[in-house]
Amino acid sequence: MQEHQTDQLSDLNLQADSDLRQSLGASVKWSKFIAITVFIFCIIFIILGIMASSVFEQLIHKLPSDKARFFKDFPAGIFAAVIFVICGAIGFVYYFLYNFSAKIKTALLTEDQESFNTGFNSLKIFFIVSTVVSILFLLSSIISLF
Amino acid sequence: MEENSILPELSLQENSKTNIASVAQWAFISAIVGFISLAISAYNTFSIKAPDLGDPTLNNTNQGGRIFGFLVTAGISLLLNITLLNAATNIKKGLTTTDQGHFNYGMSKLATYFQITGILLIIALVIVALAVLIIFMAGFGAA
Repeated sequence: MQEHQTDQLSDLNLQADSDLRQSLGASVKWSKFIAITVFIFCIIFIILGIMASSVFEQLIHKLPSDKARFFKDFPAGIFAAVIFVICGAIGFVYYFLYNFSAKIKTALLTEDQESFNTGFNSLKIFFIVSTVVSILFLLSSIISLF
Repeated sequence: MEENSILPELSLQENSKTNIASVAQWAFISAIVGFISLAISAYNTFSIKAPDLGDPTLNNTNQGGRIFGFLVTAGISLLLNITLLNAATNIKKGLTTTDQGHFNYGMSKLATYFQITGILLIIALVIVALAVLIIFMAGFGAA
């Protein structure tokens, strides 16, 4: 088993040496901070969205019936739902960044190759999703130019 | 426990290499998209005229504010995207040529990218906290 593993690694000369461990340690620390901050912001925005939708609903009731007719077709809950969906999507993307930091931390502490692979797989998914979203925003801004 | 002795130092297996190569590839695309977005933002700032506010001093202030805002955003965006591009190209080079130096440099740049993003997030948090504090103080002052 040991010989098999060593053979498998012998042609891949890159190692997680002390420099790389230091860089990965810094990446782990900062990516965890970023992910947790984003999670907290998402939760705050969801709470604010729920509060704002209830305030919005009260304001609609105070409006004269002819002016409130437009808002009657637009339920106040939809505002909170939109914020919930957006924050949920952002939280889902940043979960992969959090997973990267958690798995790489485990890999660095326990020398677990599986965690190392899973961590970089999560970072890959994070970059793919965030890049695709950036491309969509870029396309919409290009379209808006014409 | 035996696994630990087999792998005294983490090595890059083929699976890890594929994942890291994909990370580098997508980071590269992300940086390029960032540069294109910056170019479009520059076009919007400098070529599209600001809405006429009537008073010429207000128009100048409005245009000045737009340019200042763009310069700050451009500086941050350039810093982030150059770091990300550096990380992506060095990681890619390290993997294709099996050069530990390039690979380590790329990984350190990736760490720097996360560090810059984190610091910007802290600055944003401080600004938001100050804004909330000012709003509350103004609210209490009015009451």
